[in-house]
Amino acid sequence: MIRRLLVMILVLGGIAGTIDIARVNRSVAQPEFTRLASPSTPYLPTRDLITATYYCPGLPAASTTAGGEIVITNPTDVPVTGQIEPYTDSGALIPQLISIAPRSQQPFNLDALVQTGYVGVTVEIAHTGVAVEQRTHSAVGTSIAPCSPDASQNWYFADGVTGDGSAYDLVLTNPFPDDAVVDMTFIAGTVQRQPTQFQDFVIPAKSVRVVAIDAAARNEPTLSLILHSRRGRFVAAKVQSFSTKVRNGYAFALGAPSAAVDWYFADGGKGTGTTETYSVLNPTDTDVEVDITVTDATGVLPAVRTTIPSNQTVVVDIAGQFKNASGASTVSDGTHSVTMSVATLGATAGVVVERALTTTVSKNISTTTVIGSQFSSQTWWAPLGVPVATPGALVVTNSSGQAGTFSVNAVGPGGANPITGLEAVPLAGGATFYVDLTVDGAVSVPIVIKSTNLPLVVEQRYPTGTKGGRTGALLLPE
Amino acid sequence: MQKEYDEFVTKSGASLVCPMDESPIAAPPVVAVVVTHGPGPWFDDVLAGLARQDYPNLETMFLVTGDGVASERIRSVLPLAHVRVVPGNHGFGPTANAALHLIEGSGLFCFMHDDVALDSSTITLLVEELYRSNAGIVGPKLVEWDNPLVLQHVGLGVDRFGEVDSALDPGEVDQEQHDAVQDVFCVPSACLMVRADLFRELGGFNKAIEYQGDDLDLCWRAHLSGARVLVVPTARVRHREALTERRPDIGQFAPAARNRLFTVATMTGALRLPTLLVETLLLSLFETIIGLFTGRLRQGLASLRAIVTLPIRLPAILSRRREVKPLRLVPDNEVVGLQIRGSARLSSFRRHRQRAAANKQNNNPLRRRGSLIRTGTVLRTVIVLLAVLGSRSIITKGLPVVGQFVPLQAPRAALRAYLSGWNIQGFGSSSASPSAVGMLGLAGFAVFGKVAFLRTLLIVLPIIVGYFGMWRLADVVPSSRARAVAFIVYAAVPLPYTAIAAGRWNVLAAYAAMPWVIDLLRRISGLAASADLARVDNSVADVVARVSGLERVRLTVALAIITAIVTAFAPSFALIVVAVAVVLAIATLCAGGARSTLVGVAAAISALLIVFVLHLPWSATLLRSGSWTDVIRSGLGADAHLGLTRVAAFGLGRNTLGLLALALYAPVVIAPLIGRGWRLTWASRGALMAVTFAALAVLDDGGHLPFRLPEAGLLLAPAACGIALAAAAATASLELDVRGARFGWRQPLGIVVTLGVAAGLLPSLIAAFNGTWFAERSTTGYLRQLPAASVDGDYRTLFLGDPRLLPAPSHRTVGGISYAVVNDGPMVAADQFLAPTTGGDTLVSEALGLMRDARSQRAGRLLAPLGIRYVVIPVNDHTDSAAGTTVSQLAPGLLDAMTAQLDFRVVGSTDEVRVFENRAWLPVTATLDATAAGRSDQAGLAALVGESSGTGTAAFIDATAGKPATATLTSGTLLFSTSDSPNWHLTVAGVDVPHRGAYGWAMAFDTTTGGPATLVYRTPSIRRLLILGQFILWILGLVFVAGLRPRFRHRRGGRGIAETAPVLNLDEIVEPSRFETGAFAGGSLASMSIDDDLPLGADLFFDDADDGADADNAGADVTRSQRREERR
Repeated sequence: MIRRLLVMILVLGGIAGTIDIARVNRSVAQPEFTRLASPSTPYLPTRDLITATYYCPGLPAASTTAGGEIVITNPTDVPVTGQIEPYTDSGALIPQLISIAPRSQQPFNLDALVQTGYVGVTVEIAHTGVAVEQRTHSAVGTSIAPCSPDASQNWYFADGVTGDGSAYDLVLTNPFPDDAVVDMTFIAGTVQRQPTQFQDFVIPAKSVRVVAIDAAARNEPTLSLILHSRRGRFVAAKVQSFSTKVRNGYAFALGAPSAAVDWYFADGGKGTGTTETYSVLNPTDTDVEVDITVTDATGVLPAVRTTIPSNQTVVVDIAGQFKNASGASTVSDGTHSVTMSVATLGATAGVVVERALTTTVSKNISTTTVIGSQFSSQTWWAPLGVPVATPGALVVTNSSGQAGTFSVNAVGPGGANPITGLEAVPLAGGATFYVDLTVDGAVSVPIVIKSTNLPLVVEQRYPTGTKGGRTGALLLPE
Repeated sequence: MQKEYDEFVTKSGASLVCPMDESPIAAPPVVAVVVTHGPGPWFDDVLAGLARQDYPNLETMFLVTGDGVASERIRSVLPLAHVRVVPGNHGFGPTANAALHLIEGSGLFCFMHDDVALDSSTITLLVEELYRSNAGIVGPKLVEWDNPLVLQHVGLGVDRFGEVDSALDPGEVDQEQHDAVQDVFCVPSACLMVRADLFRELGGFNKAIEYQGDDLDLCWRAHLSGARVLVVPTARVRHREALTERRPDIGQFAPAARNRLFTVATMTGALRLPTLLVETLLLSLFETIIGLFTGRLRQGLASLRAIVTLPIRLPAILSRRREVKPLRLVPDNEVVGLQIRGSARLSSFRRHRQRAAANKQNNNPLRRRGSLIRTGTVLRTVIVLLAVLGSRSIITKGLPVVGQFVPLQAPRAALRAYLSGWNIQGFGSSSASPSAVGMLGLAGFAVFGKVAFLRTLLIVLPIIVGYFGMWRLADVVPSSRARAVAFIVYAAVPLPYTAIAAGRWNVLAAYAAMPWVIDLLRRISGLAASADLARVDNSVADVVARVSGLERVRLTVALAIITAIVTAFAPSFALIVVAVAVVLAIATLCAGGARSTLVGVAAAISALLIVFVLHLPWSATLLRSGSWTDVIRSGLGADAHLGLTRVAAFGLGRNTLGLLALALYAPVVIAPLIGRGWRLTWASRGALMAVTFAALAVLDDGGHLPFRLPEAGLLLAPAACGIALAAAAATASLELDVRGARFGWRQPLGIVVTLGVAAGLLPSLIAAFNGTWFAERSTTGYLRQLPAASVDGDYRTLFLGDPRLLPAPSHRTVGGISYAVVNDGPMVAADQFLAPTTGGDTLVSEALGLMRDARSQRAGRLLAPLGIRYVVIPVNDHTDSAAGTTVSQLAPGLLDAMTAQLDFRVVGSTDEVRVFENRAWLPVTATLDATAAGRSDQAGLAALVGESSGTGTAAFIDATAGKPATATLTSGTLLFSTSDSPNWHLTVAGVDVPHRGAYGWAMAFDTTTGGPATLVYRTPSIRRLLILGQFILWILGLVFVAGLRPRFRHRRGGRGIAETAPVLNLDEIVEPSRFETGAFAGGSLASMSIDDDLPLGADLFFDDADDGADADNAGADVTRSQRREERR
């Protein structure tokens, strides 16, 4: 009996114990690959990479009026090597091996590789912390654009104009060995359409394709584009030359690789001769409410909420949005910074915001378009610096409500050293500071803006070289 | 006749004297030689039979083996008997041979077993007939011990295969229908009378035959020498014929078959022998196949084993033939003429079956009357047919490539790969190839290169082998019904069918082997079989049979060999066997059973060590890996995460209504509850085994254990056995303990058991209708769509992702990422073994690490020097995932990481798989361009990833070890993307080119001149020696298991007896006065008519001097031959 009992205890105990233990679901540890964060606006990768890859939007074929170069800045203490792989519309060209000395900058002219059209470029650097930008020239000025560390399946262009003498091209680069198949959606105000010729649009592997948007969508005062790849990733940039009554200038800029819930703009202005519009594109299938926050000389203005309908673009006039009871604008004249945030708590669906800023100086109209930054950072890089002494070359905004300081440093052979007078610049919460790069040692060198305690957003007003014009560009956050 | 004889005497110069002419006929001295070993109560009848013999000149000699305790019993009945204690137990024949040395002089020997009781006139009648017919050997009619009216043997007919046919019907009643004296080929050694001189001339019994077949060998030699063999039915003896009962350790069929074949091989004429052996092989195969369905599988297997292992005994056979050669005085065809035409085996088939049924009926009270044996046969036939039906599409159309069911290599290629010492798995290495590669190569030859047939066989056959293993194991329960239930339950367990659905060869092998393993553990432990249990009180917990040390060792080696065969395909199986032995021992101790099960544990551990040795050098590589996980979890199916119910229900793959299989556990709970005595013990063993291993499988599957265990399928094999054993015990309990008892709580439990088994049958029955057991889809078919190596050069494919979906055993690298690397072309069986870790794996790990951490988009460059052209990510294998679980858990971010790489191109994308091509790849053997050649000097992550990997031109396509590869090379650097090994040699234009390291792990040859080149792998001598040693070890193991004994052992035993001085001289005990005055006066002997061939008679009764013996014998032999001719 005892033996039977013992056996039964073991049998029943074993069954019950097993069921009891096994019914608790153990989460199975899955190997996890680093989820590639949703591609974002360009940044300077500084984490531990074996090779860092940069996708440059494209350089126009060299001519007397156009051309461009890739500028690689190595602010680190060690020499770096890598290769540049150019693509044309007929495929990839032989990669060129490169080597950049420590704390130095080297331009590479690749525009001569093509007779017409554009050359896309992939730069691979066997190190991290290196900045790669492209600088393009046209008859109407110079444009700078950072090269993107990410390719993306989606690209958004919120702002755009066709007709009236403006030219609008898209430069689509596919640096991957697989063809990319892209669908394009045009949004003109409240009208959305998908031109047949831009559906299943193939960008062959390792090649560049140029799309003349102005030929497909004529005379559109506002035109947003959504590019979605059915297969593969690619890089998209726009080449826009404005020649309208209200806009004039040249922009060669990356699109936004993703929508976001926050968009930061450091530079903005209101006043005579200044026109500022923000094109807010809602690429999602739901309407989105966006809070617009403006910080001007008087401080942070009460946020204004506006609704962006699904798959539509709303052009926001800041001065018009912020009005008092009497209808007068509450935004003071002068400069201001702008933040746009999706109002819905926990929202993941975002918007794309692009600013067009037109200034008139001595009857010269200069328009620059900038896609905002999706995040703030304590460190920002201006690898190209400024080619000449430039007052107000950098626009620094404190995106927090806390006061603090930041420094502006020039990167030279001795490393990053603060520029005299800019060692510890005080900055109130939400305030904006314009940095003059005019002193010796601050010109034609990479600049880095650092703060130990402030989230900053920094824009650049890069001299276009024509009639004192400036072209805006976001710097590279770390 | 007399004239011819006189002429012969004249020619030969022999001087023969016929004493019969000179003196009155004396009753020839007869010595009854009884070999005794631990006799039971029946021995009194034996002694009484001898004591009451009416023959006047009878001496008795008892050769008492073992402890000699029978001596006193003998002397109490036969005080004048000669009793000789023989140490040890050398078997009947070798012991009886002691008469050759202990007894001198002329006369007759009557050899007897110690379970033969003579009628009072038996000796007299035998002597009369021997004398009358001038026979060499005579034997009596044998009847059943307990029922003397039933005939046992009346002489034995023998066919040319040595098969014996007694020509009696089972249970045939003696109605004097066989009472005519007749020539037969053989008489049983249970009681046979032989002339002393003939016995000496023949050299006695074959000392290599301990039991079973000694009589055939002796009689066949007698025929060769021209002597007659007669059966004298008027002389009658009772015979117990219970050798298997008294000596369960020596086996019932194997020794008989082995000895029979040995006798055939030594006695048959040289011209006929080759043909005869081929016929025997075919007959054995046929018998084995038929035996599957008729319950005579063991006989068939025994015959098959005997014929297959015959070449091993070639030296012994040749030696024996030399010994027998002087006896060949009668042409071979004359001897054949005395044999039965055709096959005695086939002609006696029906009689054997009935006899077996009758015997078992008599032996086993639980065997039901009527036709249960036939019912068992029908049952087995039906279930085997169901298995065949369920596998019909596999048999007729072949099974798609699923899981481990990949195509097999050509035998020659497999053996070449195995013997070369170069392991082609993964990135190649100098480590030993898995033993299974060699085994499959040999098996391929065994099926004449029909590897597709072999593949089908290896899928279907394990199921049937498992069935019959359980049938054999279930013999521990002396109930036909219980045995049938165990058979049904084991067949109903869905494990083998879901294993096919999931493509798990290792699980099938474990399922097939596990019952045999447990049966061997039982036999090693001495746990009695049904025949023994049936004779004891049903209340005992266990019956332990005595197992000799040698037999125990033999069984342990058998256990090791079975384990080794399965371990070749599932390395962890050997450890499971040890665990099974431990669980059996614990269960036995808990149930109060025999402690001898602890011997089983020791045997299992010993077997583990033997397995390790048998698999050297491969097994050493498993140790060197130093990773428990590599050994335990290296196979497919690891980390299946099937869930509690699926694992418990044996649901490795798709199975309709699979959860119903849980009902099969009903006996596990109920059997220990209702069992008593040995039923409780076996119920405990079955239940604890089922619960323990199912629990381990469930807990490990869910990751609830702090350590990893073999995959669930392997653990479930002993659980399935446990369930079947518990079901058998429950059935026996219902028959013995519940039936007939007052109604109580036990009766309803019987219904529960019945319903449980019935419900549990359904899933497997349903699966049988599918035709492939639901294994319908291929997971690696896309490999056939990848380009052949001949197009761009040899390449490798990297499988990446969920280890459950990878088609080859995977390495797990940092972060839990699993991958496997296979060579180009379709997957083969060799790819089913975990490849040794090499420097190439380090690079793969680094590349995967780069991708995982998004530290580079050039992982393709890192993989390029590894020859990795394709990266395949299985998403869904339509086996596990199709069963309703969420298997296709791609590592989060994996596909993103792949598409973010600049060198990977998507070349295939289905719902099953994503296939990427690495555009930066270099062929495995390639002549490098300047860029690649320069970079081949470098090693390390940053150096390889930072810049272009260059390009290479394929060379030496399909270069493998064991076969020199040739090509024409240009000067430059030849990359050979395999692990660096000094055994690879490149010769260009006749000049050896030294190699250097490349990329930190591979080989490169810098050639300054071009020309015809040869790349060859030179197998190290030590490798050849190791393989030779391994081969010898396997052969020795098989020989030992086959029961072939080293000859020296017999010599030692025979010599020990032979050295004893004679104790009896027949010439001195002839007592004519007794003949004249005793019972024989005026009796039959007085009226005997002496044949004309007097020399034979003279030689028989009056032993002449040794120096004249040869001449006498020569003359006698010629005369016998002539006489036989006359008779014919």
